[in-house]
Amino acid sequence: MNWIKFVEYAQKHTDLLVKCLLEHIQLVGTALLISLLIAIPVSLILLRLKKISQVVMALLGALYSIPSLAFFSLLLPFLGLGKKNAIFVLVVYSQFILVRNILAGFHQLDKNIIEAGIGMGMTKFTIFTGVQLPLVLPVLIGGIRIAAIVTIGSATIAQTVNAGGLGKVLFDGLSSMNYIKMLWGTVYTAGLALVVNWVLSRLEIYSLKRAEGRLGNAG
Amino acid sequence: MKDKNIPAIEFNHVYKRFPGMKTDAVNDITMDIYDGEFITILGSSGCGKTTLLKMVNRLYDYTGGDIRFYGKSIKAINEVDHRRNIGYVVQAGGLFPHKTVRDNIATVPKLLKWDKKRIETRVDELLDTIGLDAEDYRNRYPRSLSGGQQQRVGIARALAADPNVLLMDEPFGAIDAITRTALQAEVQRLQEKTKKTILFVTHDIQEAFKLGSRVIIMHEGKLQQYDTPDKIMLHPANEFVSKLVSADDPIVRMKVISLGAIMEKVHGDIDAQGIFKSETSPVEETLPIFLKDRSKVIYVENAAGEIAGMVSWNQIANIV
Repeated sequence: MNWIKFVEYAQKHTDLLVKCLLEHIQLVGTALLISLLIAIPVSLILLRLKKISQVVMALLGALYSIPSLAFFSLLLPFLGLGKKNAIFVLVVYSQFILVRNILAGFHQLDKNIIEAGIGMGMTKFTIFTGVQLPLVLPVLIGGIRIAAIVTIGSATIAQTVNAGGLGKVLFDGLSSMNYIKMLWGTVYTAGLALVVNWVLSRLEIYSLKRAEGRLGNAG
Repeated sequence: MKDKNIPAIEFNHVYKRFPGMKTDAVNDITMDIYDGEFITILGSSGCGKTTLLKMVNRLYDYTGGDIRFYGKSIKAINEVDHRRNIGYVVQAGGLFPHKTVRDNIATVPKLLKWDKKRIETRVDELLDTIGLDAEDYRNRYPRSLSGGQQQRVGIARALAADPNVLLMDEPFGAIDAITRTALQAEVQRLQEKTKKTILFVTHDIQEAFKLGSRVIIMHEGKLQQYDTPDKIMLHPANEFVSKLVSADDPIVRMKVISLGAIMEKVHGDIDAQGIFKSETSPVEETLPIFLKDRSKVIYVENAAGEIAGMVSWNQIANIV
């Protein structure tokens, strides 16, 4: 392999690489969005049910430990090939990360502060939106960041059920022994993970500064 | 505005039992608290004092009896509206860390939908009251304040909508002794100025006696005694109270009992010359005088500056 071939490949196949990248983003984005829509209400319910939450966390942990390749194939009889299968598995994986983070975020809230809010006559809704959410946000974004990175990685394996995305570049390269193609798949996947990590880290730091009152003039 | 004969807060055979518990956290409490009183609630941890307080703003709901707020059962009032009418101060201030001093203080006014200008004026006024420079502190976040300053802001926040009643739950429990003394003096000054009705929970006996116009002593959920510091010291209701407040200790007695409680009352005008003390001064303040000369007589003045009585060594000897 030489560098000229390596660069040439990218120039020649930009369309394919970008198409797969967008597909990948779409796959990961959809999975994360669904995950959040499930994880937030589930966590809020689990906060009130201590014993059940332990059982649920153990269950989610067990699901998380299933290797992705096995998990995708396991669902073939039910969900068949394609994106549906992939998204289902990716959503299940992120649940463990997201729910664990959200629960931890709420548990670390200072009870004294919440009680002061209730005692002053704030409604449950204003406490949730005005106090709990901004204080939990850094941990929540941290959870989303980890879930996003894990999902970006796992989603490449989803090509085994024909879900498309950057996994297609990787697996096609593998089957045709095209190292350049494989390398470009890796570069794109890693690049995507790095960019997403950077953006969400910035958001996380910003929300943390806001939660701790470190924005603005006085330090 | 309010009928003076109706207690601000009235406990009528109040019980509280938490789910799954075998005993009552609060057991048959009946008492009245009147407008403008500074009531301290004293007891060791687990005695039910905080539970008693939190039932007033319905953070806990009582399981028996009734609590009336200016004559009206608090169960008949919408709990959120009820709470907005009562100032609430928690330990260490309990400030929202992500909100500025201004926004913390503005919590209840915002809930009450005051207009912006009124809120700004009120915040500055309160910062002035608690001795923090508005220009400097308005936009600061709690983390840049000292513990004492945070608690001052906590008090300002509780006073924001000018409630008649203030509930304070061990507000100075986590504050160092020097700052605590300053804050105690400030709360006292504030109460004298604003005539708020204050319910103040503490496990610190000195604090309870120093601040309370009347003191509630709790033990194992039961009311042991509810009286002025003088009366508790002079006539403790039972063995428990006597031990708790060290009512047998002459040094403690001299620190707590005021001259007004032991003086020999005098009537009519007298042309007195000599040493004057306020009727609220503790007996110990006369000690340096009597130790030099036991034949001295000390005149006791009331709040209006009139002579209300006199104290000689005999009265002191009687109580120590």
